[in-house]
Parts: sequence; C-alpha cells; structure tokens
Amino acid sequence: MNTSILILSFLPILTLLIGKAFNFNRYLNYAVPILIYLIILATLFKVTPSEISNTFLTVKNNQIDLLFNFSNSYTLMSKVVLLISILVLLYSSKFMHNESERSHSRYFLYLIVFITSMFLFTLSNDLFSSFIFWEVLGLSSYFLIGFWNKDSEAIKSSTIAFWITRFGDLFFLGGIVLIFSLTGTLSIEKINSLTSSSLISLEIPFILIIIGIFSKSAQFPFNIWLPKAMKGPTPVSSLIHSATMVVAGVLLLYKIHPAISSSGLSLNLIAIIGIISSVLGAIAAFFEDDLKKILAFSTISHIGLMFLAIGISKPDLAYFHMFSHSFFKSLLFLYAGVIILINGTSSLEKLKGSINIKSTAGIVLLIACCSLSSVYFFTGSYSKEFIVFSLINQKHFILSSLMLIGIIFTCLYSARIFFTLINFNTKGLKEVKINARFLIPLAILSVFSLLGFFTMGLFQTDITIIKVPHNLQSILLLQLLTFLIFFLYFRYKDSLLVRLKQFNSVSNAFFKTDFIYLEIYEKVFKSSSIFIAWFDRNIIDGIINLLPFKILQISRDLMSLQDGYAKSYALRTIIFFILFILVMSIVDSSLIIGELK
Amino acid sequence: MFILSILVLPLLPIFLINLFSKELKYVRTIPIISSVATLIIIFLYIKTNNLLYIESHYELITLYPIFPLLGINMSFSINKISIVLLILANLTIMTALFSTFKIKKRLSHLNTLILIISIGIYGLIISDDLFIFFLFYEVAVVPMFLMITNWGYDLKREVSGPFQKVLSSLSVGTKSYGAYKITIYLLVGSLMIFLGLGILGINEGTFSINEILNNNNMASNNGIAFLFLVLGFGSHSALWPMHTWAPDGHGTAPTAGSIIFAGILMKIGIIGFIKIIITVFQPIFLEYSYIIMLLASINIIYGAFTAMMQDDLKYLAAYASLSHIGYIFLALAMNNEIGISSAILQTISHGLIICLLFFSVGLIFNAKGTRSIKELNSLSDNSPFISNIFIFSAFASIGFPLTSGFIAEFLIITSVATSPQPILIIVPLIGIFITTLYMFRTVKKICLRYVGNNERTKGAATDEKIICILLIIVIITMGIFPELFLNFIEGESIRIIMGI
Repeated sequence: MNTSILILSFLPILTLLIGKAFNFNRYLNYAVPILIYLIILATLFKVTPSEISNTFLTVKNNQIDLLFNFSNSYTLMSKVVLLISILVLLYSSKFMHNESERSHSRYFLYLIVFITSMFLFTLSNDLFSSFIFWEVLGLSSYFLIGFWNKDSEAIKSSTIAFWITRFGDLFFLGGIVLIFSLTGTLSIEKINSLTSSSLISLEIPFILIIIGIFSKSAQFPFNIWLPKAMKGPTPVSSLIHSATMVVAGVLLLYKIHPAISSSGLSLNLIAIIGIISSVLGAIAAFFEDDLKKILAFSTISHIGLMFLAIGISKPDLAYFHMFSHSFFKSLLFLYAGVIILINGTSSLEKLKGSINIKSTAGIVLLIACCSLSSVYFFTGSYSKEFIVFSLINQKHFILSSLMLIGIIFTCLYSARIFFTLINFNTKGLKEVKINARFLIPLAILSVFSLLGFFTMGLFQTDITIIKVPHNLQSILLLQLLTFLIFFLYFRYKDSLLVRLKQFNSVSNAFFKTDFIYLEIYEKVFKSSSIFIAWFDRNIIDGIINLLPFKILQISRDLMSLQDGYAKSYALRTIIFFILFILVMSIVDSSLIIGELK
Repeated sequence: MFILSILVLPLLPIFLINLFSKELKYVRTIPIISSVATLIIIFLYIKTNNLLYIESHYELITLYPIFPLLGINMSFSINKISIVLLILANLTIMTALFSTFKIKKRLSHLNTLILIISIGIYGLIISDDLFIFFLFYEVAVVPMFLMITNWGYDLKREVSGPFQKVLSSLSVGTKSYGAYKITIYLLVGSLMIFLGLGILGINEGTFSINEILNNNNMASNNGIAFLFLVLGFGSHSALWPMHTWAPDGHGTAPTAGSIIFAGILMKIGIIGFIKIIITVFQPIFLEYSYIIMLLASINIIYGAFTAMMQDDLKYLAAYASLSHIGYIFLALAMNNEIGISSAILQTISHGLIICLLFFSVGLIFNAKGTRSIKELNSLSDNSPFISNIFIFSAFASIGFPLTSGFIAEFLIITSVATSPQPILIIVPLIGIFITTLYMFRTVKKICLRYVGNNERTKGAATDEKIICILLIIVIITMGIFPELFLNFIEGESIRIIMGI
C-alpha cells in the first residue's frame, strides 16, 4: 500500500502533462489533483509504519538507496502538506480563473510538481533523495515566482531566488558527497546511529549541509530572496511559506538531529543564526509597508525560532512550531491574496480601514492576527511558549532576552496589520463579498488556527513532546505583555513608529542587504568574468596567433627576395656560391682531419 | 565482424543523395535512415554478444596488414566503452543531420560531408592500431574545413591589448579564419599525437594498442611520447591553454558542425586519454597527474567565467563545454575507479547535453535570425517549444537532479572526495555555481524577459521536435536509471584502472 501511495503521488503530474498535450478542459487541471490528494490524505491515516527502499546507484560496492519512511513522525508533516495543498489548489482555481488556457495549465503543472516534490521530501529518509526533491522544489519555485514574466521584477526576483538557493544547494551537495565518501551510506538512520557510536567526525559535512539549509530557509544572511519572492502569485507564496519550501530545512534538521547533536559547533551555529533571523525578521516586518513583505519577514522570523529550538536540542518543539505555523501562515497569505485582489494594492497604508470588523473578513483577520502573535488558546501560542520556556529553563539568558525583543516586535507587527486594516466604524462601509472558493480554504484554515487545543491533541498523539516545565504566572505574564502591546499600539499608533526608528536602522543594516549581494555580483563575478573573457580573447588567443602571424611575416619577407631583377638574382647567386665553397671547405677539412686521426 | 559494416554503410547514402541531389526530400531523409540503420547494427551487436549481461567484452578484428615491416595492421577492437561511444556518436550525427533541415543551399554536399565525418568518427572509436587511429582522425577533421568555409558565419570580433596588431591582421572572426584555425590547430594537434604514437610504436615494436597494453616491460624512455600525446589529445579536447580554437570554430561553424565538434570530436581527446595515456603511461601519468588536475581546475573555473560575459549564444555554449570538459579531466586525474566511470559518464552526458544546447541555439537562430543575447527576448511567449528546449538544456548543464548531468557531477565530486585531495571538491562546486549564474542569466534575458512584441514567430517543425524529445528522453533516462548505464561500463573502468 505504501508503494502505491508513492506511485499515486506522481499521477497528478502525468494527468496534467496529458491534459496539456490534448487540451483537456481547464477544470481538470485542479479537479484531478485535488481528488488524488484527497485519496492519498485519507490513506495516509491508515498506513502501517514501514520503509520502502529502492536502489538508485551503486558506487564501489556502496549503495545509494532511495528510502521512504512511513513512520508517524514523517507522515504527520505530509498530511499537513497535503491538506494545505488541497486548500491552495482550490483557492488557485478561482485566483487563476482569468488566465489564458496555456498559462493556466502551466501554473497548475508547476504547482503540482512543487507539491509532489515536497510531499516526497517529507517522506524521504535518506540524504540523496532529500537532495533530489530539495532541488526540484527550487526548480518549481523558480518557475512559480517568475510566473508573470510580463513583469520584469518578477523574473529578476525568481532568478535571484534561484541563484541564492542554488548557492546553498551546492554546500548541501558538498556535504552529502563528503558524508558518502566517509561513511559509505546516505541513509539518515544509519548516519544517526553511526555518529553516536563511531569515531568518524562528520562535523564539517554537517556544517556544509546546515549552510545549505539556511539558504533554502531564507535565514540570515541569505534572507534577501524571500521578500523578493513575493512577486509570484499569492497562493504560491502561501504554499512556499507555510508548509513547504522554507520549512523543508527545519524538517531535514529534525530528521538528522541525532547526528548533529554530538557536534556543539553546528548546534551553536543553528541557534545563533536562528535568533538573529528571528529578531531581525520581526523588526523588519514591523517597519515594512507592503503587506506581503510583512508576512515574508514574519516567516523568516518564525523559521528562525524553529532553528533556535533545534539549536537548543529541542527538535520536537521545532517540529511542533513548524506544524502550527503552517496553518496560520497559509491562512494569512491566502487572506492577503483576497484583500489585495479586491483592493488592487498591497500597500498597508493604502489598505487602511478597508475591512469591516463585523464581517466574515474581519473575524478571519482577528483569528489570524491572534494566532500570529500567539494569544493563548490560538494555535500559534503553544509551540512558541514551549520554546520560550525551554530557553529560560536552560538558562540561556542572552538568547531569552533577545527572544523577548523578537516577541515584542512580533506582537507589534501583528497589531499593526490588524489595527491598520480593520475599520471599527461600521457605518457606510460596503460588505465585501468573498467568493466561495476563497472562503472555504479560509474557513478551514481559520478553524485550524483557532483551535489550538485541537491541533495540539492531533500533534501529541503522533509525537510526544518532552514536557517543558512552566507555571501559570509566567504564561499570564506573557499574555499580559501581548495585550499591553496591542493596547499601546492602538493608543500611540503614529508615535510608536517614530520612537522605534533606531531598531529599523539595525534591521536595515543587517537584513536588507540586497546591495551587498549586488556589489558581490558586480564586483566579483561580473568584473572578473569581463577581465577573463578579455584575457582569453586577446592575450591567450593573441599568443596562439603569434605563430602563424610570424610565419606569414617571414614568408612575406622571403617573398621580397623574388624581386624580378636579373641583376640581383645574379648577385645572390654569386654570394651563395662563395658562401657554399667556404662552408664546404671548412666541413671538408674537418672531415679530412677526422679521417687522418 | 559485421560491426565493421557501420564504416561502409554511410557510403551508400552518399552515393544516393548525390544522385538525387535535386530532390530535397530524399537528401534530408536518406542520411537519417542510414544513421538509424547504423544504430540498429550497434544494437544487434549488443544483442548477439550478450553485452548487457557479461562483465567485460573484447573483440579484436584484424583485416589485413598495411606495413608488415612496422607491424601496422588494419585492425579494430571493440569493447563496451567503444560501444557506448558509438551510440553517442550516432546520436550526435543524427542530431547534426536533423539540424540541416532548414538549409537549402547545396544540402546534398553538406550531408555528404557529415556522412564522411561519421565514417571517420566511427573508425576512430573502434580502431585498434595507432596508425589507423590517426588515419580516421584526418577523415573526420578535414571535411570540417569545407563545412565552415561553405556554410559558416562571419562574425565581428573586437580586439584590443598588446596583440591587437597580430589579431587584426589575421582578420579574426571571419569564417575563413575560423576554418583555417580549427583545421591547422587540430592538424598540429594530431601531428603531435602522430609523433607520440610513432615514438611509442617504434619503442614497443608494434602499433597495436592492444599489444602495447599487454606488454608488461615497457620501454622506459617514453616521457617525450607522453608529453606529445598529452599536448595532442589535450588540444583536441580543448584543455587549457590549448582551447582557443573551440570558441572561434564553434562560432563560425554551421549548427551541424558545432554539434559534431562539441558532441563527439572534442571527446576523442578524452578517449585518447582513457585508451592510451592512463593505461599505457600509468606510472608517468600518476607522477604528473597534479598538472592535469591544475589544468582541469583552470578549465572549469576559467571556462565558466569566460562564458558569463559572452554575447553570442554559440560562444556561450562553446565556453560552457570547455568548462564541462574540465570536469572530465578532473575525474580522470583522480585516477580511481569512480573517476574513470564518472569521466565516461560525463563524456556521454555532456555530449548529449551540448548537442541539445547547440541544436536549440540553431533553432533560435532560425526563428529569430540572431544569436546575440542582448537582442533576443520573449522567447517563452513567442516560441514556447524552443524556449522550453533551451531552458531544459540549461537545467541539464548545471547538473540538475533527474538529468544525466547530475549523476555525472555527483560521481565526479565523489571521486574527488575519495582521492587524497578532498579539498579539491570546491573546484567543481564553484564551477557549477558559476554555470548556474550564466545559464540562468541567459535564460532570463532570452527566454523570460518580455518586450512588448507579441508576434508568434515560427516555432520548431515536427521533425526538429522529434530529435529534441529523443535527446531529452535519453538524458532523463540516464538521470533516473543511472544503474543501467553504470553497470554496463563498470567492468571496463575497473579493467582500465587495474591496468589489465
């Protein structure tokens, strides 16, 4: 049965390709995949935990197997991926309604490839297949971000995103190759058991892999591609940001955590990069004006938090946060998509007061923002508080105080989104009608974001979280802080932005470093390539051409001897004979002398 | 024995297309039918000898002596690696034949030249005698001169720097320059091979590669032969700094010429390395392998950097293949079993990918009338098929998973990592990154960049689509089921590395 799930997951790609070739009805572009994913989702609840293994390559008696594991801790994330994918597909069917026939099928093809590769990535249990799906994720995101290629910014962003993630992928590849040449296996289970027992130090390869993960998860200093990736269609952003591409790295770290936990250096690296991204991402989000970019920075911040949890050896908490983050982040993105579609702008200032508090849209926004800022009983709160308290319990005081800044800014930007968009003055505001195909995904995701207890229960049956000791007072304190910040923002909206300006400069200096990348590209790659190309065409080729040039020159000089005057020919003949006789006599005498001796 | 018929088979279509040179339809299809027939003969050979199931295969065919005094015979040898190369050569020739479909000017002559080249290449791959090897090389190279001078393109090339006078006096960039350069360069290269092989043959008392290999007590003073052979084979496969013929030759040649050159002729030097240098000169090669390593690393990085700023798509592809050839040399210089099999794999995979790349450049040139990256735009909107082919070949050449390039590059990096210098893995990794930079810069500029014109230019014809899809299928199959291929050559690469 498990094998058939894998085969089934390829089916949507096949149907889309066939549909594209024979010009099927565009309705089938999303209906068939949704149906197949529903079937897979249903069967996933009934699978028996087992492993599938396919030999891919044999290198010098060492096998590279493609392993797929169906244990609970793996399938849980696949279920989330499938659920969100189904909702996004439903949403996209309306969102992409006005596209032409060709781009409609193209969009769904890329989206399906993206979903399939992420689904298989969640199940894969070896580094080789992880790398393959990891790369295919990059490929499909490249096409999805640059989907509207009429916009030159979009293709520029997609190219930059591809370059940066590819740069990290090469670190990943280097790490894999080193691990393979040292241990002779790429199975995650075997590596995990090896490092805990043997003497081989895998620290360097693991650090390479971790750098690769940072680039794919848009962590500091690779963060610049994620806000740019907002140029893609909004449902794609929702998928990339919630359960797929950017959290793939967290999932991989969760899988290989037993192996890296023996190396202090890699754990510290993860924790430090995590906290930097988390805090600076939150600050950058607060000062951003574009709604989608706020959410992008917020994703960087939340993923930083997950990395922090792994860095302090709490991978199950990272997993838990990834799980709950998926719901409210995809909710926020899908919501933002609707708002932007209706109002035609993504600037927060221009969207000011566009949503009626008493409408469906208002309620959904309230749920989403509360979950984002981790108000108690909402989904986002449990995992985040567990991470905070385990930080405090482990006495990482610097990390916890930095974390506090991050929390404050997270509340601030959630409050900013909420209070800017919401209009409390309900009179005279038109009720916004939301299409059913938009509303159903939003409603389902709101339920998942609202019922924190429910999702926590869903989670705990599959993976047991090691309980983090904390007491009621501290939770109350944290909640009070959240509400205080909400209140403060509401009262002093305009002056807060001015007063916190110094934080903005910090985030700009560290985070919005696009120009540094541009400088590196221009100064290192472009200029050296111009120089080398010039050098090749003019110096090396010049030296090569020198030989025929000289030969031609000499032959031209020799040709001048043939001037056609009988006088000069006669002169040369006489000179030649004199020289000939002289030479011959010298040679002759030496020969004679030789004979005499 | 019947495998030798592939050397004679192309003569029939040569006769036929010159007979019916007015009927363009026949001139186009007859050569393709004959190359399909060649492929069938190769497969029949695989079938009759059960090559899929046996570890190692070797067949020596000696027809008749040429110079019995010197021990020169008309002899051929076939092993599994040469079978694989024959298939690659066949696909390359087929692609080249397909690329001439749009040409109307003296098509029968062009196809005749391609078929003559194909005889040379097939003979070259299966030749066992050093003299025959050289003979077939000339058969393959000389028609290229006629091809470029008759069907080539004149380009503009700006020159500056200390050698400005030299370069401008030779009128660089014109097709006659390209034709002369490529021919003289390669003839000098093959002269070096001839000298090296001659010294080797006279020292050993035989010209048969097979006998030289079996001869255990090697003559010691072969250093000079080694040098000549490295220079000769190196210049044939564009090893730095003997590469400058490649961009000029590719740039001025017609698409068919570029395809044949990049697809298979550039690989002959590598075959020479695998067949002769690594096996016969193993002790000297081990001693000097660090020089090959250095030159290969320069090839990878330098080729990639140079490709980045090219404006002509053909120059871009030429420098890209320069960079990819570097990976092969790097793997060979590692001198381990993974290195040999990954080098062969990369040879095949790069041959296929570069065929596709040059073919798509040819399609772009036919559709838009220019090869300049600055001028091209909106391909993905105007002619989606051509744009998809170009994007696919870009992905394949950066070694993307699920294409054959990935397996080859993965194995090459693994062979470097298992060698005594694992730090060298950064060279191919940096190479892949720069390849990503320039390939996707180009994709962005010529395919995705949209500039207001919405006219749909003429796309690819059905026959052109067929060959593209065939190549794509082979590339992807090798990427998804690499075991099929690696099992086939594994025994041979062990044989080479053990020196038996």
